[in-house]
Amino acid sequence: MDTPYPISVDLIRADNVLEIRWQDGATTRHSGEQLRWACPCAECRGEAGQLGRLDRTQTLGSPELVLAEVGLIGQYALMITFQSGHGTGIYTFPRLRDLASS
Amino acid sequence: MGSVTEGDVLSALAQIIDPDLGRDVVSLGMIKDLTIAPTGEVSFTFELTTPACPVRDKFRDQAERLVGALPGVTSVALKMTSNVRPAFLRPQASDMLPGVRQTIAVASGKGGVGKSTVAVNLAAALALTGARVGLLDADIYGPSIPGMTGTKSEPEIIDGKIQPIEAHGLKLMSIGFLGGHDKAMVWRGPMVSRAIQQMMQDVFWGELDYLVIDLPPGTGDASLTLAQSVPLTGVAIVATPQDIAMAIALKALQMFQQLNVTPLGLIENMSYFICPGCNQEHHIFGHGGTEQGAERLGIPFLGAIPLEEQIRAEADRGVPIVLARPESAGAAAFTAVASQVAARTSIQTFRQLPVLNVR
Repeated sequence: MDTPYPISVDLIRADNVLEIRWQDGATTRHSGEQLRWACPCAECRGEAGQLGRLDRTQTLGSPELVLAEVGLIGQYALMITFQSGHGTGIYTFPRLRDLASS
Repeated sequence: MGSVTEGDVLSALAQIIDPDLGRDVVSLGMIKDLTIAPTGEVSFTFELTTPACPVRDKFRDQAERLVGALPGVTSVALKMTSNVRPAFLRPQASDMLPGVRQTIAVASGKGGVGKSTVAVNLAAALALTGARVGLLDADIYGPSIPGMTGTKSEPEIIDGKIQPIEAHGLKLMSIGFLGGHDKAMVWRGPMVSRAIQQMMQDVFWGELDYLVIDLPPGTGDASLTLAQSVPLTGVAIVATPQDIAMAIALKALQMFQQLNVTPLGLIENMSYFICPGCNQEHHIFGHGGTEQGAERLGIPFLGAIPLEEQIRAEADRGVPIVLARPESAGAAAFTAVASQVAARTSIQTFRQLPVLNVR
C-alpha cells in the first residue's frame, strides 16, 4: 500500500477532534467540522448527476458538526457518526490522510 | 560428557527459519513443552501455524537432526501439532464471526473460471489436514455449493441461530439452503448485502480455523459487503490461462487492493488437459499466463489446477475430488494450492488493525 496505515484512532469528545497516529510516525488531527464537510456519502455528495446535501447548503447546525462515534469498516476505512445521527460516510484511510494535508 | 541445557536445544532450533514468516521458529513461539531428562532424552512440541504447513516434514527432519547432533543428547521425541492463530492482533473481540480465526475469500474477475470448484476443494483439502473449516457461499444469484457438496437439507434453527449444514467434514452455508435452491433470487443489491451479512451474523459457525468464502464473480455488492463487514485475512483470485481471464482478474485484484484486503495470490484453474488417449499435456487456454501475471503484479502464484474430467464429474456428483479421488492429479494440485494458501494466510497473523478509542 502506498498510503501509510493507521496505528490508532482516538476520538476526543472534549475537543471534538479525531486524532490518527500513522505507521510512518505522523499524527493527524481532524475537527468534527472538517470531517462533516468532507463526508463522502451519496446523500452529502450527490450521485448520478444529482447534487448532494453539502452542495446545496452553506451552513450546518452544531449537532451536525459534533463527533459521536467512530468504527472500523473492514480494514480500509472508518465510519464516523455525528451527534445528529448522520453516519453513512465511509472515510478511507488515504482520504483521511489527504484531508490532513489540504 | 556435559549435560545438555534448554538454552542449547533452543539455540539449535533457532537455526530453523520459517520461510514464509521470515523468522526463526523459536522466536515465533513454535517450540513448546521442552523437557530434558538427566540422561539426555529431549522431548518437545513443534506447534505450526497451520496443519496444512507445506514445510511440515522439512521442519521435523531439521529439528530432529539439529537437536540430535547436540553433545549429550541421547534421543529426540518430537510432536508436531498446529494451532491456527487468529488473523490480525485484534484489539477488541469482533461480534462478526467471533469464533473464526481466518477468513479466506475466493474471488475471480470473470465468471465460469471454476471459483466454486476451487473453493470447495480448498476447504476440503484444509479440513483433511485436521483444520476446522467452514465454507460460505456468497454467490446469491448462482449458489453452487449445495450442488457441489451434494447437500440440499434445510438448516435447523437452534436458539435463534441458523445451524450450518455439515458434510464432507465441512460446515456449509448457502442461500441455496435457505429457500433458494430451486428458486431464482430476483433481488437488487441491498438485499444481496443483507443476505450475506445474515449468513455471517445469524449462522452459528462456532469455532473455526478457516472460513472459506466463495464469492460471486466481479466487483459488485457481495464482495464489497464482505470486505466492509469483516477484516478478511486475504483473497485468493482464480483465473484461467486465457489472456482475457487474466485481464479481468486484475480488476478483482484492484478492488481488493482498494479495500486493503491482502491478495494471498493467484490460482490458475483449467491450466492444462491431460488427454486420456495420448497422455500428453494440452494447454487449451494457453500456457503460463497466470503465473506471469502474478509475477508482473508482484503477488504470489499459488499453483495450477489441471482441467480434468473427473474434477467436473465429482463436482456434479457432489463430492470434492480431494475426497473422492485423492490419488488423482487434480486432487494433488488442490492439496498443494491449499498448502500455499494456508502458508500465505499464516503471515497475516502478524498484521495489526488500528486500535480505536473514544474518550
